[in-house]
Amino acid sequence: MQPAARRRLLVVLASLTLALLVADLAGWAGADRLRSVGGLVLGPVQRALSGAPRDELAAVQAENVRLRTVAAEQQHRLDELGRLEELLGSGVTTGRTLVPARVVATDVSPLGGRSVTIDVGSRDGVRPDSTVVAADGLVGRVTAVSPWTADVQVLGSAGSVVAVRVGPAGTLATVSPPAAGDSESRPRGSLRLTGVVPATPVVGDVVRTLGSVDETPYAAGIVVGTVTAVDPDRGQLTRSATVRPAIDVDAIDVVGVLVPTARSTTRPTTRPTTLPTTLATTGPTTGAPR
Amino acid sequence: MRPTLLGLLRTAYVLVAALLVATLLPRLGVPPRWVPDLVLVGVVATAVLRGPVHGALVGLLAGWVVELVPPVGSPLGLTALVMMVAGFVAGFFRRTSSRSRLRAPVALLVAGVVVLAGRLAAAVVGDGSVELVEGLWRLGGTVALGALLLPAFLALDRALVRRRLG
Repeated sequence: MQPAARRRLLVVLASLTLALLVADLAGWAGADRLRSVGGLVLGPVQRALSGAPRDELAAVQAENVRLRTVAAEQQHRLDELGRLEELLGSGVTTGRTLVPARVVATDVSPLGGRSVTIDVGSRDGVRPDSTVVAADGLVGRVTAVSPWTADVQVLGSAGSVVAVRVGPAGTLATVSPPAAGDSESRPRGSLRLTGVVPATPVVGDVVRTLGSVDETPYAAGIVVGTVTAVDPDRGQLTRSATVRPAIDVDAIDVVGVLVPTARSTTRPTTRPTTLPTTLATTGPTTGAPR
Repeated sequence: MRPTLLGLLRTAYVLVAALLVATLLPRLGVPPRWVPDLVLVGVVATAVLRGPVHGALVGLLAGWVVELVPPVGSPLGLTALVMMVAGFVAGFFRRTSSRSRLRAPVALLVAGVVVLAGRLAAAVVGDGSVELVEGLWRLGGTVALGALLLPAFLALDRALVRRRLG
């Protein structure tokens, strides 16, 4: 072949290749056909070269793979069931009506918001501002509802403030994420407790929700966390402290959405006959500040 | 164009080499970093004897064979173009005056670097990833094997041409 002709052939072939490359990148269907031709012609050779297993062996291996998949599936369901039982058997949910749900998506916004999406929505009876709990305690509240899913603002995300009662006396406070101007450094994932009344929290105090009208956005008496450190006294009117949330914010899976139940019967009046005790039936109310 | 024995041998070598690299060597448990680029050795063997244009042509066709051996490359044609450039570059090492034995391995090294650079560039452009260390190991293995194979290939090529079979 003449050098000129060879050069022409090279140019033609290279242009064809380039055109094919661009066409393949653009998603031309013919490229796939070309691929299948490669497999059609050379696939059998490769099979022979690699010594493809006999049919019996292949069948046994396929069965093995299938059974392993089934076993993994069963194990997964078992785990899920265990978590659900944990949620239903925990003290957080006793005596409450709830819709069990699973977390299907999580999102951490750059602005500090942390939200998860759960797989129940308005068709399951979930309303905005419902309380969401896990087996260990409060998860957050529902912020947006679609027919099949709902978005939950997780405890500790920016803008989430929960009114709480602290300790056995039940002093009022709020729990919020550590703000930027916070004078104390707090461990990652912990929350800031700010007193509403002048009382000093104690390390180890359990923090529970105060509750709101109609149980929205937060039902009463749900564990939020534990006080792990109390900020030093710098002469403020109210004291603040660090709270470790009861749930692991990064590993929320099975949750329950509390369905608000309106009270239909009146509360009976009682007359204490012996020593005047506190209202034990309704839980701690306004205890004296310590 | 009349099919010659040399042309047939070359085609057969490229096919067998592509199948070896894609199928047999991994099947035998050779780790990927020790699988040499046998096709490139063949391309360079032709290119150092016949010059850039012929080298590019052979590189392009051999690249297509590599591309079409399953697993088929994606995007289609990239390997062919990279091999074409490698063959073209290797063709510049044709020098009838020099009889140095190092000429062909050096051409292979340069061609291997071109192939590696092509992969890197594709990874950068296509947001993919490439194991640079593994690529370098492969390049070293290819050059080492090529230093052994290339003299034999060149001698065979010259012998066939001398007997008017090429």
